[in-house]
Amino acid sequence: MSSIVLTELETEPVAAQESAGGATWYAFRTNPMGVAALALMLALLLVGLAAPLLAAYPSGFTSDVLQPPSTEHWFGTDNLGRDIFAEVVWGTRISMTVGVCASLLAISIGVLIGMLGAYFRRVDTFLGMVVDLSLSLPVLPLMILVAALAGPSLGTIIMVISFFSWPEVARIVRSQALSVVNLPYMDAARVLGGRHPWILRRHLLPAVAPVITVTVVLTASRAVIAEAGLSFLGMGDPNSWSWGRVLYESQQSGSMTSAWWTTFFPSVAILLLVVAATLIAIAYNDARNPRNRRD
Amino acid sequence: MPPIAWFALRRVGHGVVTLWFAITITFLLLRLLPGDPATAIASTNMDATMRQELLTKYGLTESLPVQYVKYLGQLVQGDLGMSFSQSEPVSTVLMSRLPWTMLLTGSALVMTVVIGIPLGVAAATHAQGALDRAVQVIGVVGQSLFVPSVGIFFLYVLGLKLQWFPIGGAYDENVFGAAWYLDVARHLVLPCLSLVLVSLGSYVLTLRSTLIDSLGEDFCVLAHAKGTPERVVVWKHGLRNALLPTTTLLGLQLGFMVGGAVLTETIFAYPGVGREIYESVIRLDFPVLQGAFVLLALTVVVANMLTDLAYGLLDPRVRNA
Amino acid sequence: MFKVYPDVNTEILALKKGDVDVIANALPPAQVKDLKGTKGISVAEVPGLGFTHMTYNMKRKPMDNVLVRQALAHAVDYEAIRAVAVQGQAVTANSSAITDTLKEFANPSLKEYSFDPQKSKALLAQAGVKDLKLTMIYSLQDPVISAWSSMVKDSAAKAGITIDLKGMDRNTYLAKTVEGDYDIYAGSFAIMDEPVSNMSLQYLPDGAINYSQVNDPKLTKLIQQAQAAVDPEQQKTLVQQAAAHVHDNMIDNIMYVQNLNVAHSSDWDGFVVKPSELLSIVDPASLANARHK
Repeated sequence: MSSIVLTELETEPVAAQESAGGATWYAFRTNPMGVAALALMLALLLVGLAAPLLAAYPSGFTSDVLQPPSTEHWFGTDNLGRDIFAEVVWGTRISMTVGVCASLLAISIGVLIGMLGAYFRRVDTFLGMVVDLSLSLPVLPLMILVAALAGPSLGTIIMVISFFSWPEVARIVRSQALSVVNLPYMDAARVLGGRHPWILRRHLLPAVAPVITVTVVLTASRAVIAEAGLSFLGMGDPNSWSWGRVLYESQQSGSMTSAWWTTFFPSVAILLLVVAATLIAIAYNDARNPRNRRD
Repeated sequence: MPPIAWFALRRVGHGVVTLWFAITITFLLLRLLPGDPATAIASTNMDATMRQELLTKYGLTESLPVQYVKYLGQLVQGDLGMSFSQSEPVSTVLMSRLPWTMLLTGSALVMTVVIGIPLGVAAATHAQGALDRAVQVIGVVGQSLFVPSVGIFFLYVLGLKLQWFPIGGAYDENVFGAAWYLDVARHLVLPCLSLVLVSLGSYVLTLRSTLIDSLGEDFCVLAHAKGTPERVVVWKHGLRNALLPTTTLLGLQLGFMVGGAVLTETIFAYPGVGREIYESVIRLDFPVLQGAFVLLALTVVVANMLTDLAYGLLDPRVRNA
Repeated sequence: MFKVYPDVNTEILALKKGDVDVIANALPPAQVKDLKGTKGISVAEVPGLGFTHMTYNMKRKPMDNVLVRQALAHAVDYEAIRAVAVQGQAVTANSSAITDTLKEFANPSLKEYSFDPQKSKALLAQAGVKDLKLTMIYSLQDPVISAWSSMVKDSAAKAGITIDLKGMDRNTYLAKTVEGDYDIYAGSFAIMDEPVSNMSLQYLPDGAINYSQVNDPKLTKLIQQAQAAVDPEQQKTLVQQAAAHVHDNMIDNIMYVQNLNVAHSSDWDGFVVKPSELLSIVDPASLANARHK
């Protein structure tokens, strides 16, 4: 049989086969809320990266203690006369770093345990119990306890937050993985002789990837709030400038009501970051769900 | 035994194991804290013999396993030990404060549900509309707020400037009788409001999305096709299904709230367990910390057990698993 | 009626609103100006009877070298700390263990160490010490010290000294203090009004609050003589000599005496101010004297 030479056929080009990812990105792109949130997040990221260019590192002291916002100090000064705008800008770095690191750490542990639990039914009951137990513990008090145990430092904070965030991730990943693990294609992979690590990596992981994306973003934003809370209580790192530290200094000096700018700006910064993260997650979920897409 | 009984038994057993786990974890964590617990009890000028006496009195000289077994034994009898810094039984210290935390978190939880359900329903039924957008904004902004900032803001505006509410505390000493309840309520408003604002966000958003999902399910479409009034479809069919995962969320939220009340209680000078925990950490008061965690874990475990049992009652798929 | 407020911000709001009449604990320095200018609120000053200081652990190298200790003392901007962190609500202690509050026993010839980073560098070079790195412990529950700790760090950097700030919760801080586990210690004493017994506790080798970890035979002898002295004039001289010895050898870096401020509603007066942070204006005698206008 002679092969058909397709080039001779003049046919109407069929609409390009969209990949699922492409469709998601398209839906996301056309959602104004999602795009705005993404832009905000990128702007915050930029501020963090460009901190040295935007303001001098806050240190030392001046005699302009607790001055309200002015042309010279856009966000006012704090209890030692330092520029709050600089503190918030540099705080973006630290707070986002803590958020991202804690989140990544929590994700790594959580994804691993969630997938293992869904895949290997034998360990599932045990792992499930561990996760449930961790979820039942009062999180903030334990964080306070461990932070006091290990001493206040950025490393401690990151470890503490991720240690208490991974169970939530594991729970979500596990339920997502469970819905996939019994599908025919997974059985097929096993029948084909695929070894477990390969199946986990090649098949299960992509299936839970969308949930991971959302969880990374949400966990990071929750980590930022947790860091602020811990710092506010005095468990934060006194050597680095995070948004939580700015709030802590405000609280310690009794300035929260007499100098509104000392709490307002860092709180707004936290608000913006978390709102952006949440909106991105919502928009992504909406975009991913074929039912929501306006085709 | 009917499946529901098995289910209940399994859940209770699960709960007991969880509790034991929580107790053990906090026991170990506390013993690993740096610093000499004797400094918490005694002043730094104490000489070596006195310090030894104190350590022995509080049972801190024995080996870890021995201390552990003794502690478990005490727990089973309901004895939570003696506070290091307050020369009072831990149970006294905690019992005077636990009711306030329960009141605060309990009312916050109730308000969240009472406000959250109508809002979530309104958002889901008007999906993508203006009302939905408004609710989403409230939800997203709400869960992004930093509790202490919100608290101080409320205290300043509603407490000082408008003079509507008292500044902190749970009640006034000079009020008695029926008026006392009103006074407690007045003191409760601001702290409760701060907590509700933050927890409402995630509750409403979750309810909204699960409700949208279940309204799109076949059984709801069928109900519509049958001509059932809109209101019944939403409230009877859609909501009942959507409430299931949101109820589990509530159980989780209770855990967060009880612990998260630390910040609220600090700002509002509300005499609850959360703040007591924080201060015990500072003072290295092991027994109080231990007792507080046990109580909190117990509360959360019981709450989760109840929600799971309720889930099992409502959803046959779960109890027959 | 005593109410406990965990947060000073809420406390101040309560006073402003009228929910409370008196705030018993000392005000954060930064709030004094604001409260003085608030209608209906009076601020009373409580003269300080103690002091705030830093000590250098003499059992650790290179702090056993007097030149290094002096270098460290010259690397602190005392005036700035008093002006900014304590908002001018403190007076110099002349770097002397016996502050001017104890007029009788103070040594008038002692002057505060100057803030001179260049001199620090020279002294360090003389001592043959390069790249000095030290840790400083302080209690995070002390807001004023927590505030100026960063100032100490920054000014020391100007003299090429790196100070690693280790703020810790009070109990860990106390534990480390007792064990002598620190390079630099920062803290304060509320009442130091008994010169001879204070010095014994501070500078005798087995003294309970010997945070300098000092064991100086000459100083020990002076103090013991002061303890044994029967004649008040002789005792005074010995105390002044001991203070001079501590000052010249930089055994204890006394930074300032803080005057505390307490706030109360203007509707009340008659409080008797007692110079102690522990009692301030709420000790029984003072409360008994208070009158509602």
